[in-house]
Amino acid sequence: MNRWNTLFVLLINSISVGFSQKPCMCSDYLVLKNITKNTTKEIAAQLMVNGDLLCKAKGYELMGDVLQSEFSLDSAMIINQKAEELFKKSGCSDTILLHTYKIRAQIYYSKADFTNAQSYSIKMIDCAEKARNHYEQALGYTMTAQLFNQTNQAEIGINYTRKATKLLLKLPDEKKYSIISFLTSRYLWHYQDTKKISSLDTVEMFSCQYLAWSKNINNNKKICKAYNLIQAVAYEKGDFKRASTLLDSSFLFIDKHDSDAMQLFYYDKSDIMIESKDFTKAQIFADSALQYALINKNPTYIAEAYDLHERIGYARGDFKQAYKMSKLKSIINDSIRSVEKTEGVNELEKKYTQVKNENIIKDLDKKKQLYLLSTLVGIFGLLALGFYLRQQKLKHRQDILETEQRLNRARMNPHFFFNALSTLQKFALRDNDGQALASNLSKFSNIMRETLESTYKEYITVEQETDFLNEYLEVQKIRFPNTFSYNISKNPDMEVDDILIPSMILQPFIENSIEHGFSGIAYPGHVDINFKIENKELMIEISDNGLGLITKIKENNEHISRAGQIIKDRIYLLNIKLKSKAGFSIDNNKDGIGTIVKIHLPLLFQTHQNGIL
Amino acid sequence: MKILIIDNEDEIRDILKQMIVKWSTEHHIFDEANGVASGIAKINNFKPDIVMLDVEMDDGTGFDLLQQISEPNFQLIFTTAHHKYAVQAFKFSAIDYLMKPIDPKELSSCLEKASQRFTNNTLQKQIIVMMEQMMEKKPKEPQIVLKDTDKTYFVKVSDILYCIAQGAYTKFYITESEPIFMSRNLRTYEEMLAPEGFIRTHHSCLVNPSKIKVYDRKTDCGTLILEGGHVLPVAQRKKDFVIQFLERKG
Repeated sequence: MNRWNTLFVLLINSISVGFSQKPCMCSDYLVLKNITKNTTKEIAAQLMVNGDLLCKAKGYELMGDVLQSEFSLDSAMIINQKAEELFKKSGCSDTILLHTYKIRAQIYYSKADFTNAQSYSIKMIDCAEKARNHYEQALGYTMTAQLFNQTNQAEIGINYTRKATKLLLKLPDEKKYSIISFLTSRYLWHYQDTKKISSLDTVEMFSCQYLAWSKNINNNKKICKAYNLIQAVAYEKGDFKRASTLLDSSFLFIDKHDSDAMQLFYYDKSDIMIESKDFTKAQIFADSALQYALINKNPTYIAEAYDLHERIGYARGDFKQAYKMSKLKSIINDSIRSVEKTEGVNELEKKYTQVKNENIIKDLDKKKQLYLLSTLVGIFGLLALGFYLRQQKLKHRQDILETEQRLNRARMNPHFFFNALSTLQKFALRDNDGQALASNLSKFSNIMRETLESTYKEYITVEQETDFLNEYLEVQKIRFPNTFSYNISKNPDMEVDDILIPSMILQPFIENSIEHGFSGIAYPGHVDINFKIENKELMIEISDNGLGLITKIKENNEHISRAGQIIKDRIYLLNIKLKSKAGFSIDNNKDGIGTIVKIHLPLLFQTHQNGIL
Repeated sequence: MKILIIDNEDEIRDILKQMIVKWSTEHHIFDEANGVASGIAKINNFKPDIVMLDVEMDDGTGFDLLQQISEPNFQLIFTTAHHKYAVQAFKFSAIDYLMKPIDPKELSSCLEKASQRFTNNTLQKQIIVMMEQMMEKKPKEPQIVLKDTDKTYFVKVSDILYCIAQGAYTKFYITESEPIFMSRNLRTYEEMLAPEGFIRTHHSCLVNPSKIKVYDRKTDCGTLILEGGHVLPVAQRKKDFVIQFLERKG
């Protein structure tokens, strides 16, 4: 089953080639790009003879892209290498090479040299991460995921897919959905490799979102694609009738002059007919698919169309036809891939580059960790040391992903740590207050100890959480003496020892109330934290009598969004993992004074969840 | 009083000493040691009233040191930064400990308590309980030390019927004995006793399963009847868990 191979080609062709670095760019390109009658090829040709080094490099880069889309792969490779050379001479930062690397990966991909393609897609990720370009980063993850799929490393592939999924939140709609459409293919592939039904569910969820969005922006091509993806889910679930209906829906939105889309439609249609054992219809659709593939001159598509014919021949028992088609298919495939090298050499090279790639991945991951670590060292030696020792033990990328989530949980604390340390400084500056300083330092250490421990736990019981909050609030009282009081309440029947809550999820909101809601108020502040069960959900309300939302947003917008973002990320991951509908809201209190935060979480029990969590 | 500080870090010993000198109303005589061997020598020569003992040192642990003291006639205060298992053992044996960095207020109250305890020193017995907890192989009849303001109880874990939460406090019900009221919350004791097989059948209740006589399923959630006729509630959600647990037990 290789019908999803084509998506890589679609992916790259749909990317508009732009700049990532502002100070390092070619202004002539921007001028040329805005003249609509220019084709990319013309722009590239003009830039290649431009006197400016950067423009010249850009020209080579664009030309390489054009050539690879025309399947002149060897020329594309030479031109692309030249672009790399020129960019490196320019003295700009490495990030400028992002698109060059992306195109190189694509060229290698088209040559079916997946291991080299991997090296370059990983280099591309590195560039995108340095340039903090979330979109390109997500694209890089998606490409890398596909390449790992191609080399039968489904589990590594899905990790990259998840990395890209995590970035979705940071992207504006247009880009988010563009990535979603690629991710959908990844999850679909992952399902095909592993038969994990959860991946198929993700595909369905994503493609329905994509459909809603594309209908919203009224883009026929995208609507078409969305139907196609939902169709694929039905196909995988074996519901060929539904798949066929969905395909027909997509046909309503197809641009009939788009031979790419037409080819894909007829391919899928024929495929469904083969599965439904209606070989007459399958044959008709396969013929149409071949027609469009030939119009398109895209060898991959042609090979796929031959593949359909081969399967039909085989299923009908017409082995002569099947053999003929399989022969044609392999000729095409061979023409795509330069097969000068003997199989044996190829195999050896493959193994070699595989090892090389793994080293690159390790290097990059290490670099990333070091960056995170150095920040933490600055914040707290002990904290950093704990993580460092921890991270030293990490052997698999899976672990790294989980580590990122852990770091996420600990992220709110540096802020609190800093402020608490500043308060301790205040005690240090006072004369004769050494005892208070020493005592508070000790209390503060206890909080830190608990925080460090909870960093390793994703969930804790409500009982543990309330114990922690009590200690936390006591330390906050030292920081803000005579400013506020608090009360933690819960339903007396609540099974506090059994109900679970994600760790470190409430603290940022409470911190908000105390540090910002109560700042400068003339009356005693009060924060109420209430746990209850409502509609089979765990409801937590954090209500204060502070400044309220409007004033707070104006003055301390950053803090609100920081707490908000942290919990958003956590809830997003929680919802993905448990297929739950957790959420939260921040509002002004009904009586007009202060803020009320309502968080609702799925009701999780320790006794029942041991297997899942 | 004579205070011996045993810690492998010079700085820590110095800080401890300074804290005591600065904030204690009494006058003390100090001596120091930086490891297990030197610590033992100092205990024998200096004959301290109070020993402040670090857990991890260069030539061994504080536990190693204690094992080589046949008759401790001093008061013991452990100090540790983060040794989780050690802390668990301290709690089990009700041996005083201080977490580093040390809170001077806790230090003072610890010293004060120690100075009042000389008449009835149960340290040797407490050390045995602590050592049992630190051993990899658990003892056949583990004990727990429960200490309230004026009394120290050595209780066989197998004699405990159940513990019940009363606000932030916990009440222990023990076979053929008066209930003991302790000033820590139920979660603390759950952490200590869960490894001994105790189960939390309800948010306010921690039960020794070997004391369960009958599980009465007549009511909605069911109730447990323990030896001596104690009747305890079972949380709805814990019902299956309790049933499974009892079935596995036979």
